[in-house]
Amino acid sequence: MASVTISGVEKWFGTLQILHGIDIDIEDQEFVVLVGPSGCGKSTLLRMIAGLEPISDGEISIGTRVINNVPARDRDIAMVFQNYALYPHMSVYDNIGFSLKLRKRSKQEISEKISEAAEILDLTPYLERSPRQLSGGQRQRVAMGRALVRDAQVFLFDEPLSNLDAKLRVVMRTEIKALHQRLKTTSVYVTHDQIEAMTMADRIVVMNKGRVEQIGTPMDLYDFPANLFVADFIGSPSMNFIEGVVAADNEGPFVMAKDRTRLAISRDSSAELGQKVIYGARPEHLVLSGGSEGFGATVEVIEPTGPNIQIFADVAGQRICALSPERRTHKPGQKIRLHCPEASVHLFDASSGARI
Amino acid sequence: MTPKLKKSLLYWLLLSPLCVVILLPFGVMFVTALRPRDELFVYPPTWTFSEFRWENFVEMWVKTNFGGALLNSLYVSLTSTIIAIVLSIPAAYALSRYRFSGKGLYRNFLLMTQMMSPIVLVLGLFRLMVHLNLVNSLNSLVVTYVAFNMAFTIWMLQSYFNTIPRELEEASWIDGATSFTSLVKIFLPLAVPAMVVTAIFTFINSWNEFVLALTLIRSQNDYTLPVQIFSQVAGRYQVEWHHVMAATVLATVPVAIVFSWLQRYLIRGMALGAVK
Amino acid sequence: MKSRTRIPTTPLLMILPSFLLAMSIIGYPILDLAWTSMQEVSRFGKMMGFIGLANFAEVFRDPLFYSSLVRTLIWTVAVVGGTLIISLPIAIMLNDDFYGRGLARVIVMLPWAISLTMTAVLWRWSLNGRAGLINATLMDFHIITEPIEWLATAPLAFTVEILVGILVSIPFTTTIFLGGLSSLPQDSYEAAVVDGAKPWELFRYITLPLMKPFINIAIVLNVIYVFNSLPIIWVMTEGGPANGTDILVTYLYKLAFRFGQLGKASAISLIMFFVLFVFTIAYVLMVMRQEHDSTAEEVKNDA
Ligand SMILES: Nc1ncnc2c1ncn2[C@@H]1O[C@H](COP(=O)(O)OP(=O)(O)O)[C@@H](O)[C@H]1O
Ligand SMILES: [Mg+2]
Repeated sequence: MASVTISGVEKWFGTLQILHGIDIDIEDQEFVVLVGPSGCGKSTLLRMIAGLEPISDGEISIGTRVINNVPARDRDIAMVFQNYALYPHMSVYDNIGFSLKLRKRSKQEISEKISEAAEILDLTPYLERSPRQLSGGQRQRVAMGRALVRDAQVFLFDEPLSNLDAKLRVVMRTEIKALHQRLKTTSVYVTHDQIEAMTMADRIVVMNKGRVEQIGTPMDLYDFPANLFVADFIGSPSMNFIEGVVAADNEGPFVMAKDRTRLAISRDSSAELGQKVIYGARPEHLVLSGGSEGFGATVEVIEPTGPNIQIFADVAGQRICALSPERRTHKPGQKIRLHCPEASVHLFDASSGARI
Repeated sequence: MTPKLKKSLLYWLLLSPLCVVILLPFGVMFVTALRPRDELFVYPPTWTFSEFRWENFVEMWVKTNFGGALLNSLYVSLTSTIIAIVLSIPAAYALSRYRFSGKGLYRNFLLMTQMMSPIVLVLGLFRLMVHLNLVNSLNSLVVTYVAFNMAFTIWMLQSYFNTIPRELEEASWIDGATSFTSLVKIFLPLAVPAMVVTAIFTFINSWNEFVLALTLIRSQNDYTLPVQIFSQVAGRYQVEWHHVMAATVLATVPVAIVFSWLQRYLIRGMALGAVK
Repeated sequence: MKSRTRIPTTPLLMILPSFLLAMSIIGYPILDLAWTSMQEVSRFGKMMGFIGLANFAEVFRDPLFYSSLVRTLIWTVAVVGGTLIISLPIAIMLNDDFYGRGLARVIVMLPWAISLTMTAVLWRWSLNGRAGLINATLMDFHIITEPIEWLATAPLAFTVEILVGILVSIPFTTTIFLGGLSSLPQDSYEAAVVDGAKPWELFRYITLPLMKPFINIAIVLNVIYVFNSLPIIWVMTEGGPANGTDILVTYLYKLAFRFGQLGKASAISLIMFFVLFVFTIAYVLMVMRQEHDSTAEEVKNDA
């Protein structure tokens, strides 16, 4: 097992730059998730770690060894592909054992390793089948098994669950996490699904347009998003944003929205008076207030999700979403008051998008 | 009557004129090949004849050097097919797996070679073979057939290679395979069916080629089947039609059977390869 | 702008062998033809010296060249046109599910399996004026009373050759169309049926537009093949009687290998090459435009 260090990595396809100087330090035994919208360069970065894509500039090391010029087969990594990439002309047994066979391990050892992996992944009854005869979930497990027997230093995953149905995805998510807790192999996991990222990661790397937006633990990103992009990307339903200008009165500082709605902010905030900002509040932090607290809103649409009710309402000409556990029935057009505790408010500079 | 049955009848009715026109000469071929010689030119012409003369085949084989031409055809077709496939595999692989500058150019180049039919070049080719001292050698046919078939084989192979996911090779590299191992253990096994199908079509193309064989081969001993059969028809006062037809039966029927069996692969590979 | 991708040599090495062979077998003869076409050449192939464009001038003075050229155009247009008109409905039928479809496909494809030479030999014998079984069949059905000499007069012989040309081009063309039809998106049809389209409208508004690229390919490849096709006419009539069925390829072949007029034959080769070249460039442009259109469409759909 080993750490992975990515420093100043760039990727060019011809004259098109896809990655703009990526720096990430992945510690030994860590489970790091690369997340971002599709097309942002996650797979490209992962494939550069794997050795499937040349590194245009910068350096990637595994442990203390710089691997820029090491071919994929000598990097001692294992990878699970989005479409599993199972060898269709080999049985499940041979698929899992292929890497060991290439490394000229003894028949005895190979068979032991395969049985062990099959045991862990519940594949024992299917070892003689061909990949064609397996369900999507089983194929996914075979792909995992192929990585498992390797005792590789690093596991790489490229959206391994995106071809599974929603239920199975949740199950496999937990299994992969449990597997990591057991094997502790350093892992880099790519997904575009922020829930997957939040639930699985030790640390998350949020990427956008070939740049790293923020690196941190899931709760860090949730509580202290470094900028508008991360704030918007992490959390579901996503954070509400209202534009405004910082002002103050005798009750304290607040953000004044376009229609002069008063959005209270903390006294400790470093925002300057007159600064153009974006006020952010997560739906789950917006509570219905009985009294005069908070700000006025007009209900537009109600969507019950079961545990909660999503209230979509108009505030200062912008649609926002509030999550309410109460089963009170609101009607479209109804005026309500919403309140966000000052500690839960996020403020971003309107021009740079950076957190204030 | 079910709708499908009704549709089937209608379709067969519409297709029948074409089917008749296609099959008619084959009927003529069999009927002539089996006829006694003196019943070839009767008046009025008729389909019927007195007895099945199977000896026609034996007679023809002996008298017309059919065996020699058969061997020549087999040699030329097999050799050119093998060489064409061997040269086309890396090219098709490159076109299917790599992005590189000049890729579009190379495709257009292949298209141009398709456009250059043997007949337009036949004079230049003849003189080239004179220079290379290959006239009257079956190998002159082998080289030219390879060159003229290559666009087709590369297109076919490439369109099949495209259906083999690149990830399989990548997975094998990560599993520890060298490029060579990956090619031998992963890619080629999956590409075998494609190569076999392409090879058979190339073989049939070479088997049937006429213009180059007619031009580049001057000595009777080196004739391939199409030229050999043509030579028994062209410029002769007395054509032994029953022998010609017997030879045609032997030269076409096996190939037609193999082709019929494989034609569905053409539909997939060829159309995709041609458009993309 | 900086680009750090190295020029990959592996793919170039992989295409190199095929490229070199094609270049020498197909490229060299073109140069040789160009050279020969500007030489005075003796009957025995000896170069007698540079004469500029005299060979071309001679070609353009030759009435047989013009009549062959006109016949080549008729031949190409008639065969390709006839083939397309027959092949599309056949492909549509063969793409549909009906009893005996497998057999029908095999029969329609059959001419492809057989060398054009053999097919032409078969037809030459079947159409024999004295003993041909085509005449026998037509007489049995009382369509004609006297045997017809099909290949003895040029206009009739040429017509018959065009029909045989169509017959042997159908399998290839149908194959392209079948490949195209099987790649058409089924949901467009379902959507159109739900919208209330009748079979003819389905064909007119869905099949035909979506088949356009395949039809274009079929036109281009067929034009190339048919324009260059020697065996049918050569075997059935050798361009005769009295040069009455000569097209450019047969005329060229006679000049080169019967009359030994190598300079003039080279000139005709180059003229043919030029015609096809212009045609192919037009095709490449057409394909590029279409690809451009379809990528534009994809981008629009993504948005
Ligand atoms: N081989 C390539 N050549 C050119 N551009 C590519 C290539 N591979 C990927 N790209 C481009 O790089 C960008 C990032 O792709 P990718 O890493 O696959 O994104 P993600 O995995 O985050 O969805 C995309 O815009 C994609 O079009
Ligand atoms: Mg990706």
